[in-house]
Amino acid sequence: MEQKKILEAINLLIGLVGKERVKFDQTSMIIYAKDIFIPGYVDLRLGQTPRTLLPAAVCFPQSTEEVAKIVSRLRKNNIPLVAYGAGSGVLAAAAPVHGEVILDLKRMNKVRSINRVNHTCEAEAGIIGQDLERELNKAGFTLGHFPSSIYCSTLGGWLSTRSAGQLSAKYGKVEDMVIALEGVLADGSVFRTRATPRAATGPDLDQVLVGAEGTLGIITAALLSISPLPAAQIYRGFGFDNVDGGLEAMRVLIQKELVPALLRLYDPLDTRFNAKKLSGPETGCLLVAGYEGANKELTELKARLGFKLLQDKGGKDLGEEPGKQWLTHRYSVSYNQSKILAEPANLLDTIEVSVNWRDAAELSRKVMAGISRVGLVMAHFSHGWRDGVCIYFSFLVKEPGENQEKLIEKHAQAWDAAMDACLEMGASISHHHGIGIHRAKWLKKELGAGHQILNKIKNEIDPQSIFNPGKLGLGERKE
Amino acid sequence: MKERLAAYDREIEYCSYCPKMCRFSCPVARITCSEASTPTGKMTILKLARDGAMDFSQEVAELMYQCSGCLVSRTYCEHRIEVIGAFEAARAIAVEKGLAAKRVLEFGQLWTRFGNPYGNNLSFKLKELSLGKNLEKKPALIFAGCTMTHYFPDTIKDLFLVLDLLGFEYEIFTEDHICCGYPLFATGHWKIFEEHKKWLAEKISGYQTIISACPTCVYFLKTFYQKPGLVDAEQIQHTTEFMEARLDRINLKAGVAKKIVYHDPCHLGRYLGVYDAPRKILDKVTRNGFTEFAENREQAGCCGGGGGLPLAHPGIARGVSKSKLDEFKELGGEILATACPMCERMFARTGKERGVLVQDLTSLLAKNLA
Repeated sequence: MEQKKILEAINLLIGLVGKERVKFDQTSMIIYAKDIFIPGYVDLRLGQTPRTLLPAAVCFPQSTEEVAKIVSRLRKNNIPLVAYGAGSGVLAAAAPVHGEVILDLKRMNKVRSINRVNHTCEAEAGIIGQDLERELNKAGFTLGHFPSSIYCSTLGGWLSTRSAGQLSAKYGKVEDMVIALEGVLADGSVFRTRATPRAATGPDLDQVLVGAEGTLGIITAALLSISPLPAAQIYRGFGFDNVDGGLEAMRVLIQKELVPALLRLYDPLDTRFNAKKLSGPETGCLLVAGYEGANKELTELKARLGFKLLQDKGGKDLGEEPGKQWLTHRYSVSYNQSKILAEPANLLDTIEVSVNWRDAAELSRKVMAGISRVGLVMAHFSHGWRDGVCIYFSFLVKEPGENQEKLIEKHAQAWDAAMDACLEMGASISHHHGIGIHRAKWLKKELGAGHQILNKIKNEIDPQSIFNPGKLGLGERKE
Repeated sequence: MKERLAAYDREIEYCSYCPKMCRFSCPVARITCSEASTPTGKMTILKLARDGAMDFSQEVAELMYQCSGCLVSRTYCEHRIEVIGAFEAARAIAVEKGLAAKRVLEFGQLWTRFGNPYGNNLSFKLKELSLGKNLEKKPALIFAGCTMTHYFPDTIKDLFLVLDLLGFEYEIFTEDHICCGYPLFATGHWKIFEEHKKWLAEKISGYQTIISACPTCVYFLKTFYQKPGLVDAEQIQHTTEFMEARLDRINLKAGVAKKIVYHDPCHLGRYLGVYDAPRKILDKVTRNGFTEFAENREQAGCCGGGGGLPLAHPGIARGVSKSKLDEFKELGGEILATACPMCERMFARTGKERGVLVQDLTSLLAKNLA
């Protein structure tokens, strides 16, 4: 964005919310230029400030009405913006690629209400996940949404990317938890969808916005379905000889309606990597299954039947310990990033995809073969559905000479291998991390003509492409 | 600059590349809501300045002071990173280069003139409190510290009451500079601190035991004086540790009927690892037990008073304190008990309009002697 426009934006924002809530200092601009998109760290490594555009300014609105006023004025002046949570996305969805204004929603962080009769909670989009969960726990509830980024991501971010938590098999993914939304459209109007359990009143408008990564509207608050805190938590580990056997056990378990809260199968490398931490085996595949629920007897019954089934399907009972350790270390994997990236010869990343049961093992092999040509890769299988599963690949590419451009090249090759394999086999290129910028080129291939539907909605709802232009491959701005 | 920060290379690198796992816990970032204020944000900027990708400017310096040193981010870090060390080193650079905020730079002059952060004669105040004492050399030294002396001289009197009851023999440090030096170190005035350290080390040597009701003083004296061998005291203790060890010799009544909520001071808890001693004291003096904050012990939230935050960023410090007080009110607390004069000061000041009653454990104990 040209300097004149940036100054225009800053003055406009200060006029609306006051100087204290508008940042345009160099340090803030650098930090807000990137999220957790891995190639973005290369600049840091090279001792450079981000090579992507810096935002024009960062603004901190405090209410939906304020967001509406800001959007109206920015739209009038044709200034694009990015709605921002905590910047924990991994695909540059929150990066200001056109030098947008960042609308940081974290001052909108209240739990507005908890309804004990309906088991619902209304919360503002800027609340950090762990804070939301703690508030709910105090009242005897849980959202049941535990992404590994819960300490550093917001409700708004979850809704924008269609996130999934570790216990999604029981509690649902974030879109399953949404009852109603409040937010702002590109014309500055405020919308509030109706809070009903279900309605056959045309397409579900909430689901148009959930997963839209801020391109179609800014979600400022949500009414969510919540669950009572579990009265029983029964977690256990099982050993399988190979991925195929473990996957088959998972499928049958889910299709026999013994769906646990947690069902996660680690491939042999991931099993070995986690053996010490999870008190798991060094060989074969570890499967951790956990049942929890507000009804103690039902939970215990399901656990008993489920664990028996897993054994009947070839699983060796490894006892409670892997389950307990999994609960203790459930967020540990994210801490590996800093240690690995601190070595200039390394680049790591994760790729999550969604595939039906029949093709899961083959897709996994195909992706692993492709990535293995450039790096080390391991996988776990989780977030099971009746018809399929999520495969979560973690990979590491190395460049002994520490040539960062070569590392980026290898990183790109790994992604190409995974995405191409998914498209070829009819799987989805993303289960829950979303699209951002990085996956946009593959999204068009996956959606085909469907992408045109999104484009038409975008062009209609945001003709100037004010909201997060270019993300999801929508609304590229010509500047 | 690289050399000056070399001791913190691991912290700077790890934090810069972290996906912000401690994000929700940082009390400063919770108030500003800015990603730049997070430990990751601050470390990233420090890394870029260290590596020459950006100037170490006033803006960078300003960011380095946005940390209370509470260490709660360490609680949620599997690498157990303590971020404050790198920020303190950066602050020293900022002060040397004249890039720190004006009030921070002027603070050094104030301290040098008065020998404490508060601009008054604390030595005289302590001498008044110590009348009839300090007549002979004793094996133990009471180091009241600047904040306790300035704001809460009554707590010092209460401490003397308890010590006298126990027949404990002690002297009181009443020399010119009633300060362990932490305010200087935390704000980056390292040159002044080094001179003060030499002077103070000499003055507090020769005692077997040093006791303070200020956990910051205890931590600082242990780390910067005792550990490097500048001071030969065998034991440097906080008053709660001292009193807890002697609870069987103190006749107490369970006199407090009001609802007490206990706040773990950062320097007593996360720095010194003292969590149980204050709780045992509270068990003795309360009729119906006491209440914990939802996040307590190693997870306890900060009062906003440490790390020079009230000096460099008073608005943020007040915000941090206020959010803790909001929880205190939600819990229905009637007395906010703590064991640190800075915590007491922050909560008393921020909670004044809401009528929050804050009490130090030493005073609570002294007021419930049977």
